[in-house]
Amino acid sequence: MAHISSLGAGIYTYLDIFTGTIPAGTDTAVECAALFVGTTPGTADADHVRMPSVREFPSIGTPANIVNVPVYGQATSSQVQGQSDAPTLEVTVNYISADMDPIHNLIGQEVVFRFMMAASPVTQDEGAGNTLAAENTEFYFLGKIEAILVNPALTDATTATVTLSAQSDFFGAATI
Amino acid sequence: MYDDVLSDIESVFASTAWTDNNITIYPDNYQGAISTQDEFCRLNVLPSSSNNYAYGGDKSLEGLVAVKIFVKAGEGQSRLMAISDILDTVLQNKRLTNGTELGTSYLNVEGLDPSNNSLYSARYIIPFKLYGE
Repeated sequence: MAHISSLGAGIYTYLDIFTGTIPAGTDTAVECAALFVGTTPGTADADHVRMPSVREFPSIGTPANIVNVPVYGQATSSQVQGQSDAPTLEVTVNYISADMDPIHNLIGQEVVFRFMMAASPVTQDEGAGNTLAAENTEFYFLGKIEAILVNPALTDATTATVTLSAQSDFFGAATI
Repeated sequence: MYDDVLSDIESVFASTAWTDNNITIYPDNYQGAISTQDEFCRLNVLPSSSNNYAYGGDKSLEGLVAVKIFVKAGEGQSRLMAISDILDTVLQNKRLTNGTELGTSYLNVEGLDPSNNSLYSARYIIPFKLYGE
């Protein structure tokens, strides 16, 4: 399909995880996208996991780190983009222990993340296809799930904060 | 979802925990005869708002359950409070079959019923929330 072409709420946003063996040198959106295609395209494999019931997403992408460079004879300094710190990647989920069990089991394992925004609902199986019928935009990165902290609440759903770490650049925006 | 909430709440009033108390409760929009004239309740389920509680379109529904309690006038507030306590035991902080969760209750004492001075009334109110698919 194509990128999302109109402004709208990001209701249909998903975080998918590829838990299988990551080929060496995986460093492009196309290579990452191939990992999320099922052995039978359109059917998710066992190593395709979706983060359940996400309540809040972090900002995804490479943050800026602007460095001022003094230039002799110029009224203002010039600026260059330096190497930036990876963003804080904390995902808040509605915590249902049974649903989160597979995520707990991934703590510390290197995986590939796919942050997908779509114009309409995308099931896990649909997300394992070569293309999607709905407009969609993805960002990929290699990383790990580092921690899951559970936050009980008196008057609302129990939530958990899932902390991710980035082990690569962010690849995208891409579309399938 | 709306039907699930109504079914959950009505099932509470069909359970023996409630019926053992012999307090008749009528649903809202009931237009038949009310035989127990000096002590009865009216049930209102009032969904009031909803939102997406997760990405992907999952919806939660919340609102209030209001039970209007009528007791005999001229006999103090004691029976009103006793019925409210019974309502608390069957409703407060409960999670029902379809997943409706009830919170903590409060009571608005409304005094003599303007349309029937032989009845004294209060409104027992308790919030509910249901997380759907």
